[in-house]
Amino acid sequence: MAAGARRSENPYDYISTQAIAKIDDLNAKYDVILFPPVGFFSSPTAIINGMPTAWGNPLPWKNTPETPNLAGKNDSTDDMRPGLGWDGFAKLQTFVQKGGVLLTATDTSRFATEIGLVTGVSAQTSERMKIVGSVVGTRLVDGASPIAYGYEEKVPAYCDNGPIFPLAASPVRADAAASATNPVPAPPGVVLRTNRISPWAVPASRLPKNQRRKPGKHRRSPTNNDATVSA
Amino acid sequence: MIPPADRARVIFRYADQKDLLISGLVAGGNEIAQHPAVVDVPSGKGHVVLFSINPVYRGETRGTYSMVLNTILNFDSLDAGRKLAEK
Repeated sequence: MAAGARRSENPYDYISTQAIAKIDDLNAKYDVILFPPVGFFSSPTAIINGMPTAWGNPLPWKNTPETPNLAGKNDSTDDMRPGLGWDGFAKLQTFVQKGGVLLTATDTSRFATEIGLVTGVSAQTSERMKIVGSVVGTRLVDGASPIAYGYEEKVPAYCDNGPIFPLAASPVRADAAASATNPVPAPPGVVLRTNRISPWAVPASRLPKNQRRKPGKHRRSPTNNDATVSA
Repeated sequence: MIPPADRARVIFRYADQKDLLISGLVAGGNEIAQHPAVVDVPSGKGHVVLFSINPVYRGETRGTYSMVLNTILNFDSLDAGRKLAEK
């Protein structure tokens, strides 16, 4: 069956970040929570704190006689300014610790790493790279994971300047991995081959066969992808 | 060292720089080339599945919808196929 044509009978619900703190037991209600990209004001503190409520008027998002079609039927609020809150964050953390699955994408992945919902993964922001919503190639690394079921090696994906994950086997190594003067062996399943880390720091036996360099050949790799525009 | 059962598991990575761009604009793609694109991180008894890509962008990215559907449908067996060897 074509991807996207599947039908899932799973029941689903919409929850506002403002509602999470008020739910007693997230695990009793949900198995999976999707936290989609936030967009504006998406720094971790902004997601927690929302917009300032100390001054100004509330920002309602609701239908009124004057605005009968403003909000859909999924959600409405008297004031959009409050954020997830620390109580809401604690609920999310407990949800995961007790067995829930939290799925994040782009800026909410950055949120999950920076606020400490996960350990061993950090998120870097690109320094010079510009990807303004492009289709990029991805490659299957772990086909045994259920997340990859049905996928083959090459998968085109939409990238909008998402977080850059360097991985390491321990938080200490995550820091060390950022230092070019202190190269560390690649953890399993991860190929560290960037400008910051010498490819020679990774034992050839750990690299996929097609990425091992042949001794004696030192050709420059092509860099013709920079600033390339295609239709 | 993080024990093998608790290690982040890279499911997809970005392609090599020369194969990165398929459509659109990329400048300086070497910063993200080969880096993880989808990572499954065990945390407590649960999981946080981190996407660097945007798997559901409007109605356009149907090829990656199934990564999200797979995560939802297999929420209680995401550790299937995990390698537990020390290396």
